[in-house]
Amino acid sequence: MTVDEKQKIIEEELLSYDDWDDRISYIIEKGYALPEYPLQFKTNEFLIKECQSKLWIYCECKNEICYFLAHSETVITKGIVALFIELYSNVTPTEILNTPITFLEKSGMLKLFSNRITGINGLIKTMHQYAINAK
Amino acid sequence: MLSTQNEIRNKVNIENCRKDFPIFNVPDNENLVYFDNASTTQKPHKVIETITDFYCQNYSNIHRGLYPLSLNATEQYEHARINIQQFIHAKSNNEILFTKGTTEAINLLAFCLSDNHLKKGDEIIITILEHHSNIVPWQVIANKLGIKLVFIYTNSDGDIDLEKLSEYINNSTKLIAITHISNSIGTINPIEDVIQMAKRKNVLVLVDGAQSVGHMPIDVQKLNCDFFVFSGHKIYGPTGTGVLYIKEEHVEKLNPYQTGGNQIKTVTTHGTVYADSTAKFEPGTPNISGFLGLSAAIDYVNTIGFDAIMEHENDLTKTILKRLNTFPPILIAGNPKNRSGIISFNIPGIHPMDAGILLGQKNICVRTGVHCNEPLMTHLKLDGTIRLSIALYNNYNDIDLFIEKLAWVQDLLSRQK
Repeated sequence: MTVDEKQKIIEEELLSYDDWDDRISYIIEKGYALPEYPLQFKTNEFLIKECQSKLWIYCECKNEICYFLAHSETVITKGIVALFIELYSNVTPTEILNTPITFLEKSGMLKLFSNRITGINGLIKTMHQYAINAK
Repeated sequence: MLSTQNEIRNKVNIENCRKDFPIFNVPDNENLVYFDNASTTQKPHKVIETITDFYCQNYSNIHRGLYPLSLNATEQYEHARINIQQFIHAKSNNEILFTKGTTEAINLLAFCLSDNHLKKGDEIIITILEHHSNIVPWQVIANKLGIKLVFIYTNSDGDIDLEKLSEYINNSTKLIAITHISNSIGTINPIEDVIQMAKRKNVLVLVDGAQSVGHMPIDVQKLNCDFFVFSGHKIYGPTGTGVLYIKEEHVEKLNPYQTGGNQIKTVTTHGTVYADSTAKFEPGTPNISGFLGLSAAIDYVNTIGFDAIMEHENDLTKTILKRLNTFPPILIAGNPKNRSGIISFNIPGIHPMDAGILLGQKNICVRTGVHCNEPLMTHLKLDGTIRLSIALYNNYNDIDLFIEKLAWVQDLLSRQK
């Protein structure tokens, strides 16, 4: 599945909830389901500096395919990162760099994070940097 | 669970107070619970109307024009200064200096003192309770001039150690910069005792009144502090307004921080002679409408009176603490001997930011994070807190809604673990 196809599914899922409570519950659920993050990567090197809450992200590339792992202290941030990882894991660096993340804006969730846009941009920048390094 | 819905409070006619603030009358804000007053307060009609009237009917620059519009604007602006002088019981209106806010006031003072009062080897004492705006400016001049910055710590209740303070004041101590009320855990510092200690050793005292000025009467002459600062927007006035009170005996000794027009006696091609008054600290066209608005906010607070405000806010604070204590496993940060209506707490296992986002979506406005208090948070071993802070328009219904939504947050975040 391409990043765009995966993004469409997430966007539709979020829009399928009429109620804000259900939408945020979906994100929280994603946050709790995020796989355990290895302790050895919970260092300053992997910390997203722009994020208000602590957020670590690590990427491994095998056979030109990227795999991301992440951890945050806040479950809502973890939920958002989990969705980013769903999009950008298991794909090539080129596809990551060629596919901007639009689901937050299209699903109306971006407003919720308007005071944390620097953190979100920092996360995207870091994921893209991993992709550039992997090319 | 305790219910406060039916508690009758006639001491402040709170319903009438709330109606004075248009934000609560917007249909979408019917259930708005605004508990972020330590950050900024809502504005009453009177303040908004004053600003609008000035721009619609009386607008002009001040101190310059000789036409009635300008003369009237100057009169109103200088009346605002007198109103503020009387509000904090300063001796003279020449002791009231207008700034953009508390932060600019402290920076201004730090610069002025570093220019001709402080020197290498001097010491400045501050407390661990300070907002970053009362830490960073002193760190900057300490590094620049080789001054020692000494921190006074609190116990786990959040009370400062007065004995330690007494020990730390020595012949090199030139200034104590202390907050009146902690902006994150609500400690009301014993500033009277601190000032007395300082005065015995001829040490200058700056009081950061950002969190106290809207909640208790201030008398700078009785306090005998040298400097007192506050922001207009935390006392129902506009943003971009602040006050630096400088005891008259220091006004002449300090040099200007910025330079330009409106602050001078004469300017020639050879040099400049500054005005004798606080005007020398206020170059350029100021925030005229803002200070008229701040003056209107002070009139508003005076109309209600601090007796009523303090009683109402104390009652609300006690009720919130009581309700939070019946809400295990909440951990309230600090337990100061004297406290204001600023309460910080955590729910174990729930990050403050998650709680803040969720409460926000339910129209409950609280602040989460470290509240520009990183050194204090480190000292208290906290990564951050959920902070609520009250003002005169808050009521018991706000508390009920807050507690109800807090229970929802706890349930939502625990359910899926």
